Amino acid sequence: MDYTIWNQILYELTFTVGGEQDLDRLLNKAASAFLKKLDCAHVSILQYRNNRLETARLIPRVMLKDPTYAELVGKFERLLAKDGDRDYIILEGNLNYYGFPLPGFGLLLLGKADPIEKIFLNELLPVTNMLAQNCFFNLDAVRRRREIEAKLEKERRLLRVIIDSIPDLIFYKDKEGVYKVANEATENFLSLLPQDLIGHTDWDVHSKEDANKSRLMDRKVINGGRARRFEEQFRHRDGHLVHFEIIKVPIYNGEGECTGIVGISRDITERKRYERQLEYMGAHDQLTGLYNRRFSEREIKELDIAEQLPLSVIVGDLNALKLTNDLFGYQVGDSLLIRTAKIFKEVCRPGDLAARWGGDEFVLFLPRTDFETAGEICRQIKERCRLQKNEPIRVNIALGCSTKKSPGENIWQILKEASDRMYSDKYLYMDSYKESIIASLKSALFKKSTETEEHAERLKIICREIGERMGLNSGQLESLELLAMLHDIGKVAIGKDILMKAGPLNDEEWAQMKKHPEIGYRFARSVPELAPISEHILSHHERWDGKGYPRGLRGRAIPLLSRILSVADAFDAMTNRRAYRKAIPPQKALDIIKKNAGKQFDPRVVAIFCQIKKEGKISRARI
Amino acid sequence: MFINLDQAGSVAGLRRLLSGAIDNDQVTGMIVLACEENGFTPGSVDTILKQSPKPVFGGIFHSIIFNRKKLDRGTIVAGIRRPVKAVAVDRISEITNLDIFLEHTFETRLLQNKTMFVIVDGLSRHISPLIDSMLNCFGIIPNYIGGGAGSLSGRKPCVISGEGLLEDAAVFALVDMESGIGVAHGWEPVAGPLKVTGAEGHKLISLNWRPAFTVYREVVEKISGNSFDHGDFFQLAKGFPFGIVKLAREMVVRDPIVVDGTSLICVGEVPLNSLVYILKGNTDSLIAGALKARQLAEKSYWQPVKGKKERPPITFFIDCVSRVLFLQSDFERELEAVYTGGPLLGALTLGEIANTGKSYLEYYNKTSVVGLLKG
Repeated sequence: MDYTIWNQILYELTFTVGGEQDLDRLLNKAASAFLKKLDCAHVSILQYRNNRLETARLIPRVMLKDPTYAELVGKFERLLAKDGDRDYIILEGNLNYYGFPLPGFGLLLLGKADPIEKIFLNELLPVTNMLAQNCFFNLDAVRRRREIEAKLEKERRLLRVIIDSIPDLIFYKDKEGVYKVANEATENFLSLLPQDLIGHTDWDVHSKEDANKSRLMDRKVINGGRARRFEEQFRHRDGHLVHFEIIKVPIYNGEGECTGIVGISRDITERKRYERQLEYMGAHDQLTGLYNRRFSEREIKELDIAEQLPLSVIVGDLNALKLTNDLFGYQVGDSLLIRTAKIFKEVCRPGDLAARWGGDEFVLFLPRTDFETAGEICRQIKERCRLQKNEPIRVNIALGCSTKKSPGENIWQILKEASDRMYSDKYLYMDSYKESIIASLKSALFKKSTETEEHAERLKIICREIGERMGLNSGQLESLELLAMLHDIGKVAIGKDILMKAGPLNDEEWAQMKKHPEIGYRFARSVPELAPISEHILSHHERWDGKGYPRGLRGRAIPLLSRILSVADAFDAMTNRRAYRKAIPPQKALDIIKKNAGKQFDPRVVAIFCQIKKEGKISRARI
Repeated sequence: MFINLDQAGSVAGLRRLLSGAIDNDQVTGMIVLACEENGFTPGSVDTILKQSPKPVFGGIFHSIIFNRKKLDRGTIVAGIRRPVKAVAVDRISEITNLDIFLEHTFETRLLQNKTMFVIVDGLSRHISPLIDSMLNCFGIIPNYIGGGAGSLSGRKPCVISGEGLLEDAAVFALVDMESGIGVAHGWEPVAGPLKVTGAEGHKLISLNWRPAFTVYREVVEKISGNSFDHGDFFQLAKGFPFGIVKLAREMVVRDPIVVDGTSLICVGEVPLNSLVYILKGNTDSLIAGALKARQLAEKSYWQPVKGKKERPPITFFIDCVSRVLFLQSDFERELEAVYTGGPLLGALTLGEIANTGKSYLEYYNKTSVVGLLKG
């Protein structure tokens, strides 16, 4: 052996087994170098795994499938177990095998046709030791690298789960617009799996128009060099439009070169709808759909310009809203407001602005409209009110208008003038309006309850006769007649199912029914014409003996008109057929009344009523 | 082995010789050695090759050798009487993991005491990785013999296989045939050893930490008495190749062919940290090299076959085409040197592939490889 060459070989081997930072490459290089430099037929590097030697590198690889190779490894394993402290183990045969233990790693196995002299084997030891050390350090590095990789992989998966859990579409596109990363939200947003989006561009998944839109945004972000927020509509693959809020952020590499864009898209279609709704609600009256006062006051500034002159204003005040609310409930009151608003909308021309100014006040702004035209519009409103049906109360509006003719005039002053005129209108037509209210109420009462107009008329006659006999003055008699007609007005507010019930009422229904004198009382108090009989309405179900309702008044504490009505109403009710019973003969009814004199009825009223009946005037009451 | 020659080198001749071999029941596969001058193209010979029901392998070379003659035109078809398994690897430069590809081509037990013929496209850039992969997968279990097919005039399809005439390809044929291989070249060290302190693949950057060309120039100009400043670099360099030192073996020759700044581009890889000598040859030393190759082959051959020298074996002679260019008319003497008296066939190659006895596989250059085959 030429020592020059041998030294060179040792040098080259030393160089090969040192300095490599990757275990795989180290094993490859080392196996190949031992094979070539030492002219071996076979080189394997074995690694301890679970206390067994396993082949980490083998040249030639085909030997792995050779059973004699497994036997050879087994043989070395046994020899190492027996005497692992030896520097090397030699097995001689057709091929001479040299096993160099690699402490902390495994075994280097060299197979060579020509034997290696002992002196050279000893000189190889520093090289094999260096290989062992490098393998060990690299193994440790591999273990640590694997731990780090596992941790990174775990974090990557966690990040992926987080990204996929976010309902917003998250994506990364390269500079050319090719999608590289996308989360699972693609399924909801684009009806695509992330893997179907990746590798494609916007032109592959959107319409040309939408793709251009997206690209334009990308360019703005890349050229601007900063994150930007966009709101855009895109057409979904199923055809519907989706409103997106998109945040796009440019991504840079280490050299400061933009490599792509990270984007987050959120479906804000619902939010946009709510925003529009809020905007609408901020400007409109929720009940009537007309503009509200806040919006209108803002708009007045827009309208109050020279170009819009003459600017007319109509102020309307809905009559009897409180009355309607009290008597029929807020639903009916609301319906009255809605019908009023409808009339205002109907008379509005393009450019006009109708608003609900307050609770029962409406304002109509009429740009480029003179006073005469405004008056005509008022007339149209009144006419439309007149044509309304009584359901249960007709819309009745007091109106006033005024016109701003020159820029110097103050619009708020104009508004006040219109308001003043509206009040004048209100007082002028008050009486007829009230009559119409009472008529409406009567109509509503008879329509709703089992009571008939005939019953009311009969009562009116009976009551008047009793009243006259008792010496009541004309004012009292008028009140008595009105009471006969409207004593049950409170029933308008009682449910029809209770009022029209064929059988006896249960406790709860009775409790409801017994509220009608109070309801009638409150209503009568709010209408000046009915105020004088309000106390009588409240007391028309009181009993002489104090067992009546609602207050349990006794004897003369009960107003006289109520005591008269009580007798007349009982008689007429008994002698006329009801849905739930037949009519009682008049004499029998009279007997019952007499029997209850001093209990339910005022004995004096009963006596007078009996006298009238005896005189044969009863027949008149049956007309 | 039935060896036939078509001196005309025609396609029809190839068809005729192959048909004859196919029809011969004793023949199990065919080696085809053809000359470049035949003008074979995939269009003209693919159909013939693909139609062969028996394994066919070989190459197109600058020249072929038949008995003691070098032929620049003609085709040799040798019918093998032993079991043959041939595998072609097309587009070797595109295969990313040659180890895994080759691992599955042959089984271990099939490799022992056999001969692997390897013909590669000599102008492929992936010969070194291919040789390394062969070594990694098969080791030196079989004997290898072969070389680089192809033309000095440029790259053409030159590997003959059952899949046709291929380019950037290799064909392996494992033949159940014992053999003895001898490798020698006859180039002698005139300077060195020099340490390769800088190299990247085929590029030799520095020797003894000095620019490679500076060192090389100093030595060669001094020994030859000629200067690189006058005339073509290779004209002078071809007489002074590098020899890479191997343990107890013939040095591996590497021709420097081009100067790249202060670096030298060689034919074949020069490993970093290896020791190299600058070699010089003459007619007698080269012919002595060929004779040595034959002697080594004979020594190796008579060991494994363990028989008496009853019948001269078949000689498969792979010789570097550069040796012909160097020896010129003396090349006949080289043929005489390797001639054993038995049938001789071979080719002049672009690089030689062999394992010398029980040492590892190498891709040689400017070398004679003699294989004695038990026909």
